[in-house]
Amino acid sequence: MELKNRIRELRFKHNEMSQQELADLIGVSRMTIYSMEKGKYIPSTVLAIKLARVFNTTVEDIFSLSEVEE
Amino acid sequence: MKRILSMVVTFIYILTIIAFVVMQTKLTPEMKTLTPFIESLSIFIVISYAAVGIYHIFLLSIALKGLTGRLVDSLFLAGVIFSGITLLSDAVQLSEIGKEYLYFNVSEQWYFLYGFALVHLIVMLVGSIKAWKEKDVLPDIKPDILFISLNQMILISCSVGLAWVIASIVKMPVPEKYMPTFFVLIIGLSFAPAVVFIVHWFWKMKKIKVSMWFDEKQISDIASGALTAFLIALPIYLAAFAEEALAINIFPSYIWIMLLFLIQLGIFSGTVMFKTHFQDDQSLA
Repeated sequence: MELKNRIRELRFKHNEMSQQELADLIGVSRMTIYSMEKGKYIPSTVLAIKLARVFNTTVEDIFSLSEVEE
Repeated sequence: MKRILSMVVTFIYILTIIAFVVMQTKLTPEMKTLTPFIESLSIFIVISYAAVGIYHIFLLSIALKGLTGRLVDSLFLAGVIFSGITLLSDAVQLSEIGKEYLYFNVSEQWYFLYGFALVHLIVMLVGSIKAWKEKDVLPDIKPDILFISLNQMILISCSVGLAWVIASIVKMPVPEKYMPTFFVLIIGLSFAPAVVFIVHWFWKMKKIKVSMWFDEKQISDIASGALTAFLIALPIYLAAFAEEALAINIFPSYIWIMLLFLIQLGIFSGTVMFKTHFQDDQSLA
């Protein structure tokens, strides 16, 4: 199972928000946003809820589990 | 103005190195009293060192403002701090040469001086190039750039310290009884850039609540770094323990402690840097 996310897509839908702007809104570093978008870091529940609030959506809409072919 | 200043001071320092070469050939026991020419050169060197010292403060400001998270920027900052501190050791060497040339062979002290002069010159040349390229208004440095720079500075200090310790083990530069003091000096000089940057980092973070200094990803990276450093240092702990238990005298205990400290801290910072994936991010601020 792999955790996918739509952070990058949602940023662009929200007035082409930069990584730094999103980072400032949820109180993390820009590197953390970069790592989440690339799937290199799985955020905590708190951070996922903060992201959902910024994008005015649900956590499930941002993150989804997908099967990985072996 | 800063461009002209950087060029003038660098040129003055090149003249100072030439003055060293001239003085090295003239300052021998045969010279019982100083000639007016040598006295003039000494005064020139004192003035030049004052100018170079002040210029290093300016370079420090350029280096701190120019941090982008790239390793080369941290290397330049470490170089400026190291070069600035060793200017003081140059002053001590010059003063000793001035007192001892009548009675002792001071050629080794000149070579120490040339070694550090090379470091000063490289730092000043790179600083001049940076002064030419520097924009008038620089953006604020974000905490994540400071975080990655902090780890780079620690890694640079550990690498320099480790290389210096190993070189000193291979070829002892001072008699054995002075080695512990010499190693303390090595660690002090190697860690000066990291210590200066840590003070700068605290200064920058002073208005931020301690709980906000690191975000959750950075805390996770720090934890990974700590675990990796501990696991890699385990064989060194075992080797030091075995040496003690079996009474094999490979290194004195102070060398084991220093090796452990440098390797563990270096691996910690290296792992944190690797985990931040900063090197993959092409959209640097």
